Amino acid sequence: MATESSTLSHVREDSASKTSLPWVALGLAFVLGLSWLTRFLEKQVPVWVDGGWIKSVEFPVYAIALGLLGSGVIGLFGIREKVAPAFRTEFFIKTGIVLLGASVHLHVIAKAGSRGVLQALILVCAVFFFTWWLAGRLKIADTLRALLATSVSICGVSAAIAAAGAVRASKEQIAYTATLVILFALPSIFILPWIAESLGLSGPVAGAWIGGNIDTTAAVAAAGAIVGEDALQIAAIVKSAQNVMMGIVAVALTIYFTVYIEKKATDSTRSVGRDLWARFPKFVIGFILASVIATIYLNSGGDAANIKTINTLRSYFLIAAFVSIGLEFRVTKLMAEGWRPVVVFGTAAVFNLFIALLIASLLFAGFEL
Amino acid sequence: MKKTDSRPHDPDLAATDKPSGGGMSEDWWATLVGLGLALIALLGFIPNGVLW
Repeated sequence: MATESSTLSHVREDSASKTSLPWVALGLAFVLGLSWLTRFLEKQVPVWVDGGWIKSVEFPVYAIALGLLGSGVIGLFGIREKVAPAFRTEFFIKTGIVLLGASVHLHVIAKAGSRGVLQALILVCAVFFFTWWLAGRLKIADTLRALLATSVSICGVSAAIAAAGAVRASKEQIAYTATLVILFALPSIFILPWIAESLGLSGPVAGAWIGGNIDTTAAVAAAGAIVGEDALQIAAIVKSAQNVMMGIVAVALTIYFTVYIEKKATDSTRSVGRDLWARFPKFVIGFILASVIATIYLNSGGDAANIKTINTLRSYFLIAAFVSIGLEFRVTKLMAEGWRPVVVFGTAAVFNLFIALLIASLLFAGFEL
Repeated sequence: MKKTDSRPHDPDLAATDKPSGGGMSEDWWATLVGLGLALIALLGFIPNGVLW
């Protein structure tokens, strides 16, 4: 269908002229309703199902599934174009990323010493450039290349969104990357702790390995917790150090795409400085500010419970974002990307496993908290 | 006020920093809302029981 293959930006632009405030309000209520249902399932399913893998299913899975279901419902009633302007995927994720900054505490990262930061630096660089190189060999578009490399090397969907702002990726490319991140993160929660145990890795090494491998922060916590308390703490620190890299990579990508890729494509005479600023994902500034504010707050004796409240708020925004991804999902456009991105992501994930194991074993051998 | 962009129009672009009303871009709205909520929470104005 023509409407199915059209891009989401088109859907939104077209929809804007075919809708009215009550329809947008209804769309927003729909997103919020599905978000609430996601939170409900995330909390209740582990209670209903005692044990088993389903206990570790995280909100992105429920949110996308409910979003897809919702997409079918609004399609059935023929109101998609009227309610679509309320599906603000990027706004929800960007706000979620700003709130994520509050959980990146600079003093905690400092406590892990140079090890955590060094691992994050080496690992992010190695995995990013390997993925970038491989995607280039398979002739994947530069924008999707950037999204795949950023998501697999840093922190999944959040990093992909930050990169998407810098490189101006399409929404389908964001959805594609998000789907890959979730598909790979889910089995990793169980497989990595099992491998860590089989290899007899110490808690800190296992934690550093898990933190450096799994893309979603929540999945890192789940896998770390399976191994033990030491592993959980180190995994969280390594992940936080990697999250910091998100801002740095967003800046680097902005510069690279503005100065090299776009200049080459358009031979534009526009000022580089103006282009850089226009393209720079400004919410990264919010992310950094939130991190600084939360660090100062905790260092001056602030209540850690309030940070937990911010984390819960962040979850709500990310749930709304994943629901919107499900609602906006278009299979046709996604299929057009073909199998190559899956190969790139899968190969990069395996490369990440080996390189992270090597680095974690070298840096965290004999380490004690 | 609509933001102009001299770059060639590509319908596939997400244009993640598009204006979303009131002349302020979506990035700045997200920053404002995110930091605003974070500050309100840090000041203890959002009781734990309110969020589920």
